[in-house]
Amino acid sequence: MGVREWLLRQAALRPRPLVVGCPYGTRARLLVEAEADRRGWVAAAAPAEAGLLVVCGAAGSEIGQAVEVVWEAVPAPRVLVEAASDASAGAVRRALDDAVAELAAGGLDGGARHGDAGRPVAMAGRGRDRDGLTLDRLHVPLGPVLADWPAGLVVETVLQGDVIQEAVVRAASAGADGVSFWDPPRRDETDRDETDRDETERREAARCLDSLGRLLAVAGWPGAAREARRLRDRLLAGAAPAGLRRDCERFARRVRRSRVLRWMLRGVGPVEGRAGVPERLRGDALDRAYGWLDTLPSPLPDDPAPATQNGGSRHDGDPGGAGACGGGQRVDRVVGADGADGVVLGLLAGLLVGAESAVARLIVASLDPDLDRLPASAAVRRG
Amino acid sequence: MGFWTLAVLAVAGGAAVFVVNSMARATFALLTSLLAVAGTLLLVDLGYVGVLVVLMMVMEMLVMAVFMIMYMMNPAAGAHGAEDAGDDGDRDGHPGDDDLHRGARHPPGTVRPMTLQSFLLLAAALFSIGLYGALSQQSIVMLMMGLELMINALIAAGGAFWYYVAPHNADGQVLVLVAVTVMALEMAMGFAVTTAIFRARDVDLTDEAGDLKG
Amino acid sequence: MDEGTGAAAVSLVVSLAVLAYGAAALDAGLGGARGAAGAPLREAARLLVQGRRRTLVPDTLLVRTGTVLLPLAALLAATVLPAGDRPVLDSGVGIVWFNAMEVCVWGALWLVGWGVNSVYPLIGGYRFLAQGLSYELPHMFALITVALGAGSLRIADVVAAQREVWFVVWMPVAFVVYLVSALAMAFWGPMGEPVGRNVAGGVPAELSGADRLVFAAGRYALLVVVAAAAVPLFLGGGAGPVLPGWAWTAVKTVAVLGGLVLVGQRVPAVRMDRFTEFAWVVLIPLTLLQTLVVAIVVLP
Repeated sequence: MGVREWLLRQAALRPRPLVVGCPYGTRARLLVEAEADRRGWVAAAAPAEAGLLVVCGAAGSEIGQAVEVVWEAVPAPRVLVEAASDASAGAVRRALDDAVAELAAGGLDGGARHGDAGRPVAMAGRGRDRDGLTLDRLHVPLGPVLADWPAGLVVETVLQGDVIQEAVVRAASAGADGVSFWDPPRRDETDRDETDRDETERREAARCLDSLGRLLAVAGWPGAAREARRLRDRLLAGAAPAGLRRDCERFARRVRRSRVLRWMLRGVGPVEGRAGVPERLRGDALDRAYGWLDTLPSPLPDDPAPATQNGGSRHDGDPGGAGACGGGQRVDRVVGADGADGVVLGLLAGLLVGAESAVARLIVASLDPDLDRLPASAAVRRG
Repeated sequence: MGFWTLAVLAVAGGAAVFVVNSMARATFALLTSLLAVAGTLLLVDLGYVGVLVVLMMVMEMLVMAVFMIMYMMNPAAGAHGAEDAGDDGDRDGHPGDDDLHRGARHPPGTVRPMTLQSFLLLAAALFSIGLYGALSQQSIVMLMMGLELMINALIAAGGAFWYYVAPHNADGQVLVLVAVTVMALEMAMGFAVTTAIFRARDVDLTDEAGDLKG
Repeated sequence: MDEGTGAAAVSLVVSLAVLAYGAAALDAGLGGARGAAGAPLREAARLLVQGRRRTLVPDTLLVRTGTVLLPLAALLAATVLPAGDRPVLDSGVGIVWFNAMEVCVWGALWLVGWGVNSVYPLIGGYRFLAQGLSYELPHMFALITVALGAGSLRIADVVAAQREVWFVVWMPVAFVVYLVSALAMAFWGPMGEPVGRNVAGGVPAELSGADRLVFAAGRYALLVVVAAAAVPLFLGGGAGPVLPGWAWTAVKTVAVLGGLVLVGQRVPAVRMDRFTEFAWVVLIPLTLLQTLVVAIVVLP
């Protein structure tokens, strides 16, 4: 056995997957993330780092093109995995197994040098900026293929230095039609019974954990992000509710205790409480993160009140108190029906202009719109 | 031997500042020159000053790189006024270079020892390259690089004078420290003025900012 | 170079490599990887077989220089640290040397970030400069405090000066500031914004294959060196009962290193738009006060 073969086999045991979420691909993405975590794979942050590109859901023409560009940037040995929106856990597992086998055999070679495929060099133009220096403007699209980024969201930015000067926010065209994974199956019916109510709550909590995982990953707290994602997967699997509730509470306490997180998120992406802006979007990134924490299941006995008060009392002085999201009101707030995800698209451009790139990512992650809930004709917002 | 290697490196780095075609490379060529001179200081027992120069210069050059890239519309395409300057730069830069080589070859088979004269030769070479740069370049940033090279020569000469002429009192070392401070000041002041002019008038060339000329 | 120095140099490189590997393995373990002990090896294997990525019109010379400079700077900074009884390079200005080599990392990161000609690495490079300007002054004052307490810039003298009381005991502020800047120097954990996930990996985002391996190895080496430097500067060097000096140095280094790696997983990233203010308004006066206290104590 040659050295290269041995190295390839060793390497294939721990590939770095770059997971691309497509519209209506949330379910597949969750399965892939859970499976990757189970195998101890660390997600790649950039294409050059990855060896495995996992496309979750159906990429439409636009995202398909973006995926192709990213694929060019993945160095060999590399494997592209497509997980269909309705793939089962077993299918995902098999696909990843196949990918590992293929990587061990050398993957698809010849990808290493595709980066310089004769695109013309666009020279940066110049324009006015925040500090009155007419600096070079750089056009940088954020998304749709980016680690820890809402599926299908595209923000076309104009950067000067590290600062976003202009932003156009839009939703990439979906490759298929569907229903958001986070919406419970029967949300249109009015006669919700107890199980539906539980299901709604569970999904909503899982969605909050998913968003928290993203936000914490972008905020550079890998440990907590991983914990959020693991809790999310356990919650969706419906396993061991008692232990899970306890773990959720411990996690929420841990996140709330972090002073650095408070210091970094306070005042980021402030949303005023105007009419038409749902309660849960108001405040800054920290308020929204704490709002997500409030939706997590709290330990039994069933009465959720103590946890709510607990959560509320910690940020009494906050504007637009996210505590209002908690506890008893949960069920009234029909998931997605407040149109928050559409509102986010409208707000985003205004929030992003003038922000530094690091803050911009935090703002997006703290709003974390689910574009699958948008009406078919998604608007383009400029800022 | 070590000295001559460093000297050639210093002069070649200095000359490269006005020859290479990218601003980023120019900065790091200048940094090479500065670090080589810091290396010669270490050879004459100026441990503290030499290491301090390394520390200061790396930081200074990086701040400079950021400013420079900010002002250049097209950093990769090179320095303003450097196109026609390239040949002259070689001519101006190389005499010192050649002298050094000649010095290194003489007497045949052995390496000429490090003396005050050799330090002054290095300083002269660096100073003339810097002077050439300061006079010939139109971009304020490139002009400042010329100034830095001249001060670099001063550092080399100051260190050598201390070592060979008056090692008993600290004047030479203080001179070097003053030179380093001047360099930092020049950077700070220079970029403050440049930023102000650039902001007000979108100008980063000396010819367009000559309104105080009598 | 006499024989003792040669042996010390070899043992320095070996211990640096071993500790860097250990740090990588510990980080992988805390990061949820299975079989963490072998994880760095597998990652190295992966990077060795991985192809090299080429971006559009890169400045390859600058990228390569920067990549190689990173482990080189770590190694050069380590030469003044006494592992056993004496360091490889027993310089009279060891503390300044350490500081200068650590500043070379700024250059390395900027070279890589600029050279690959890509947005995210460039932003990462910018960020590291901002970070450098934030942490460097408090860091320097912390080092000056140590030098003042020992009355020497030679690291061996600093160790000797701690025979009675470790510096960490009566310079706690300087020690804490040093640890913060140690994280910043190695752009690790909470100070890892230049290579953060929110800029798609930042500076090394476009590196792959061997380049990335060298970069990653350099970063871990740097982390080891900044952790190891805390031992002679604040923790009494090899002083301790029963065990020989080198063993105590190793134990203390591993403890500091483990702490730094742990913090990397436990604390969110710190952004420079907030930290700079804190560093200049809070940390600099604090370190100055610390220096004042030390100056009064050592006043003859």
